[in-house]
Amino acid sequence: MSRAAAALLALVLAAAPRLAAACAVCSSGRDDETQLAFLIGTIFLSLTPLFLIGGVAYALWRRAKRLAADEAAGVIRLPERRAPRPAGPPGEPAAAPRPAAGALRR
Amino acid sequence: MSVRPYAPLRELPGGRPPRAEIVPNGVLGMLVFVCAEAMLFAGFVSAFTIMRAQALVWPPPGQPRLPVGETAFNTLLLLGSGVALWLARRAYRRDQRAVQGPLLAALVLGTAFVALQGREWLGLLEQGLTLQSSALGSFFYLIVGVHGLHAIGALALLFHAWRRLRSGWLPPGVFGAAEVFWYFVVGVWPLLYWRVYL
Repeated sequence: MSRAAAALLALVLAAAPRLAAACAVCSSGRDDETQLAFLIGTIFLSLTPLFLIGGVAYALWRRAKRLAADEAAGVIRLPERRAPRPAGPPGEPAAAPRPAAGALRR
Repeated sequence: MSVRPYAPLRELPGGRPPRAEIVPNGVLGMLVFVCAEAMLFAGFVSAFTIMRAQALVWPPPGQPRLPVGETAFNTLLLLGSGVALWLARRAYRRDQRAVQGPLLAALVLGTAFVALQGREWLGLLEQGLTLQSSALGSFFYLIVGVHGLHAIGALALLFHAWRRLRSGWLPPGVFGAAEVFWYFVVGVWPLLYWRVYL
């Protein structure tokens, strides 16, 4: 299809939106309220994943940036503390618990 | 120089020095799960909105009105539970021993929400609102029921976090995942309340 024909088709569709919006299953054109509900539903379902993925990506990016800044500033990060090992059989001492993490903050 | 706890170091291959992980794996996994579940609820709400717009009379004839006032009280309980969990997170940054109170409060308030919602369901069933009675009943039990299932799952995770805390150590991944799940349950509810009940 040539560019001119494609542009003409786009113009026709723009001038006659009902033709482009004709959907066999969504009962569009039934009444204004139904059309509005479809419109809101379409916008809602289109934007929700964008906001979700965008929000998570932005939060991760901000946290990575903060960690990089901390690293550059020489902040010491402690490795994850594990739960103390329960006492074993007699004669084998249990692992000593580490001090509360809150006590290590300067 | 400062020391910050609760930021686990991740060993890197190739002998590179370990780096603090951006988020624990459990939290990242829960975020992906919550995004998928958010789309599930978005689909439910959209379908319900269209169905309601097409109805000539709402609620359908012979069907009871949904208890707006009682559910508003339940909503406050759920929001209070979210606030308690936020307080637990603040305490977690200072000292894990201070987390128990707010975490338990979040658990109790969340359990009260689920219990009162169950009581509300029993009342509606007695009034004749069932899955088969009307489109309202079908959507109501589907949407609110799926939310209730999520609430029960998130409460189980909060309870697991509370037990880990009681045993002496609550790992950041466990607490973070429970937080993300519960905040999702709390955050999606006002939208459901607005669309389904009002």
